[in-house]
Amino acid sequence: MKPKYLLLILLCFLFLKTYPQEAQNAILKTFHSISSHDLLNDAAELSSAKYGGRLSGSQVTLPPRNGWPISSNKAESNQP
Amino acid sequence: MSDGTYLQYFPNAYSDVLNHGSVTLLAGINNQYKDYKFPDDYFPGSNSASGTVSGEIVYVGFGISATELGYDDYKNIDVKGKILLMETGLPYNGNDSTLLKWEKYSYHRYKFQRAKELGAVGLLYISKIANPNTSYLEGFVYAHTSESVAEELFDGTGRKYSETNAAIKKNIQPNSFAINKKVQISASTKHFPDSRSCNVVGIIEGADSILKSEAIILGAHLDAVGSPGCLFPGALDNASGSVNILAAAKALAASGVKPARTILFIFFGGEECGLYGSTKSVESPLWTKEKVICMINLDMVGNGTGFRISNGKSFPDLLSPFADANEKYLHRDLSSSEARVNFGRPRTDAAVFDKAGYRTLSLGTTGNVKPVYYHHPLDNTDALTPEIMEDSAKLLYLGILELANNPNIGIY
Ligand SMILES: [Zn+2]
Repeated sequence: MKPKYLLLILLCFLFLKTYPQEAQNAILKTFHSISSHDLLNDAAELSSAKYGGRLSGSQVTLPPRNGWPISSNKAESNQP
Repeated sequence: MSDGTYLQYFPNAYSDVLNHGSVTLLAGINNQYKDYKFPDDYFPGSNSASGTVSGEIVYVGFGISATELGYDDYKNIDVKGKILLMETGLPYNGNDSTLLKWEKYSYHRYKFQRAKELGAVGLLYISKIANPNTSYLEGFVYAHTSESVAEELFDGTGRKYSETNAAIKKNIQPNSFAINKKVQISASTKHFPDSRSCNVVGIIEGADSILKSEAIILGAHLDAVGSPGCLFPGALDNASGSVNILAAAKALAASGVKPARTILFIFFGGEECGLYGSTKSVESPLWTKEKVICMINLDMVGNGTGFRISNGKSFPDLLSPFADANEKYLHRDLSSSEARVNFGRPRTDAAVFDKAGYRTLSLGTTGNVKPVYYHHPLDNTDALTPEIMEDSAKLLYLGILELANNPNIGIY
């Protein structure tokens, strides 16, 4: 048997399709943290006028923000 | 990226549309003067030249000269100095090897180029859908008009627009003619030929020392159609898909159970301009293709009650984590389809990955709850049903975690 398949079988024991109870609880906790409220807020942000309809290639002028990769590196900004 | 950023750049020319311009039917022997209204009757062209053109209207069907296929909309028709009334798409409708021969004529850029080289000065493009996937041609002014405007322009010609269009498609026979009316189109734009844009890339490195070399790609286009005349917010297309992925990414990053395989998140740029971002990411892959489990694309996933996973039936190993998660926790209607060869031009980022030989799934919705305002100013957050977005993000979280952790899922 190829080592690759041996490895797969071994891994099957490690990652059983049903996770142990504790792991399942952790997964469900994260699952329930996803909320439509946050999603709608994010969608409203992207849809807002300040992004000008997000036309690719275009330069929208956003207020500078720390850590914003475009404003922190002028050479990388897509100046028209 | 090699430069230490998470931005993958590519060239991306674009045009700013400075106002909504105008489309005016000039008074003639058959008709009265009429100002068409934005946005009800027309949208300005996203890559129109700036200026005003006027001229006789000539209906040129699909605007295609495919002589090798025995089809030429311009045969025996003089369009020099004229304004064309033209269909988008193709007269041929099948999806088979014949479509392959027509494919190159389906591009808006081909049609514009052909019209310009025959001397047309402007275009009324039938289908009122804002679309930056066109080319900017010096002096060539155009606007998108509704079918009802086309029908109105046909008044007094003894023909009906809808019947003429249907007959061309049925017989694959051109039916071009001068309408004997004059129109004026004005546009105010500024073109930026040397601009560029980028994909925004995120990564969650796999937690398993061996499986981390394999990756799952999750993609959605972040761009929309801009502000041609007013803001086109692009909420459903495709803020929805983008934020669903963002929520799934946050959950996967925070998850108590870590993904064993690597997950790449690509927020594509340039989709609306011609699939530039996805094309860049298959031409300059961020991950070795042979080590990619699959690419999952989301485009317009925010209006509906059910899930649809395109291509899922062809890849049951990829589909089952999502089907299981839905059955156990979400209880939505979930349908899937077989992967089909597409003989036409690629229309989605997923199609670009398909063509490059990746296995792809596309998550979509069924059972629209709200009206769909495609490439329209009303594509705002009122057009969304946040419940299906929440469940899409949840489905992605559970499905991808399983895809990332199940050792039995292989790279075909
Ligand atoms: Zn889209």
